[in-house]
Amino acid sequence: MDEVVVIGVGMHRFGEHPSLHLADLARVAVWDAIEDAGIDARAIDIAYVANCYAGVITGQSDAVAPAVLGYTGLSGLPMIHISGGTSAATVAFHEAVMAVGSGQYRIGLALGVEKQFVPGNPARSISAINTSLEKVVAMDLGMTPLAELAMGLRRLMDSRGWTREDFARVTAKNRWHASMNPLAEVQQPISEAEVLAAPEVAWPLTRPMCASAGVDGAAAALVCTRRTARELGATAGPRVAAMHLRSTPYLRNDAPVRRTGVPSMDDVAEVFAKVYERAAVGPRDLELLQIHDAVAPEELLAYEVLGLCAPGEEAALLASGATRLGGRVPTGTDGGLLARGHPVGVTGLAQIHEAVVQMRGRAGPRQAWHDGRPPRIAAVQNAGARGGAANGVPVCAGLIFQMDQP
Amino acid sequence: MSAAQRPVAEGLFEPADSADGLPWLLGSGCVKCGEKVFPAMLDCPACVSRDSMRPVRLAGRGTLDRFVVARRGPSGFRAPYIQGFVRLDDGPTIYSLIDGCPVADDALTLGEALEMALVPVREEGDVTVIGWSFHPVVRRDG
Ligand SMILES: [Zn+2]
Repeated sequence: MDEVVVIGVGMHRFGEHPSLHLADLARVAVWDAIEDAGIDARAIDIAYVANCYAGVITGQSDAVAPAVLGYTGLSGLPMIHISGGTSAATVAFHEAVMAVGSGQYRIGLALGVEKQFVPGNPARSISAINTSLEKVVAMDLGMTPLAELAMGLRRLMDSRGWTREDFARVTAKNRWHASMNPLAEVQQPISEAEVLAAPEVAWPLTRPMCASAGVDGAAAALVCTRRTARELGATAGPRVAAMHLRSTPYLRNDAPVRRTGVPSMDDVAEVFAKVYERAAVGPRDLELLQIHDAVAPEELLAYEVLGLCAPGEEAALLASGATRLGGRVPTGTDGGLLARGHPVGVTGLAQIHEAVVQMRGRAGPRQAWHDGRPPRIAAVQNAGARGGAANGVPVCAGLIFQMDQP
Repeated sequence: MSAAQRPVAEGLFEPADSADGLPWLLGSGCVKCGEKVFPAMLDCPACVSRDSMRPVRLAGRGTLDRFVVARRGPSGFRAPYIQGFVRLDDGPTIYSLIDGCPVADDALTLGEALEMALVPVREEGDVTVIGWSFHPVVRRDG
């Protein structure tokens, strides 16, 4: 496969946008990406649109891609809808990279767009997100993704020595990052004490330790081969050094607990073993990290699963400041899912957006610096820490971006 | 309870055979590798074989694998309530509502023995949807 680079990214601010339609959110992200790349929009010849809940929230369950993209003014190109929960946007990006890397298409657009905010009806937002679970033996019996996450992760508190204070520290860090991100859902910083004192969602999690359900947004990326980028005179962005997708295999009833005891995070470990090998980098080489912190403990677990520290050292790594802006491997520099926001079908592309913006040195007050230059090696981890077998465990996605020296 | 009832889906469970017995979950067992699954399947996910699964009844008895008090729920569920995973004595680990104890974070002990009952799980308009829940062998909700 040819080397693929990101030539443009765009994003609509995350938040509650009751007066905006999916297409209104999408057109901002798409046109920002086109202008960022500096290309003629008509040169885009394939598009993947990630969206999970239009069927529930707006009633548009089929033809989502043309219904959304048609209003951007684009036409005549294949428009392909990708669904499938928390990693849908990264899957859309993966497909766009495959499409152009194979030589079949020239410029690929990956768009994530989602509306989850339902004015005056938070239960409906939860019901929509619930459709990411298997229907009969999970959703219809009252399982909620957040609670499932909480019960899988709380068991790690004992074995890894985590406390609620550690979760508050993750939250306060990411909220501080988001306070410097004009596109973030929640831009007010919060203290650790305020996080701990907030209402409980499911023990040990308080409200700010969880990404909110009622959030809308869009993000987009344009990709092509390095050769095409040169031919078009497009903006040079980082290259996709490695990417890999995987889902959780069936685990026999008598199977021993794997690594973390949280099945989908065990798969994230496998995904990263693969992408590190393909990109010929290791966790020590990472200069920027975007991880899937739908709830605060997921960030701690990701530190270990991605190899940043040994099991049980997650909280110490956090306390050391290594993962704050200014640290060795700043993590969630846009605020992460907790504060930048988590409109489910958009999240992966928002993570990619942040990685690209940071690597190009365009992140403004939240710019990460390494030896006086922007980060050159960044990783994106996108997938929830799902614990149940055969209950719709989503794809786990891992990406490594590399910005080559000029 | 409202007049109209329906199961959450057909073919998932069966009432107890006797007044003092427990209801059954309807799963499958593999004739090749012995794995048991719930809900029922025809092809085995453990040894990945076609048509190797046969119907089996799984006893409504198990141990608590993990649980959480959900402070908010989707439409039709009255929060707070307890969600959990139960490791059935007959093999599979399944999602379940948990009741028969106070709705509190310290109300249950991981690994404790639980038994199953068929209960109304939510209202859908005028219809009561019947599913299963697990509770401590000796109920503690007074
Ligand atoms: Zn088998």
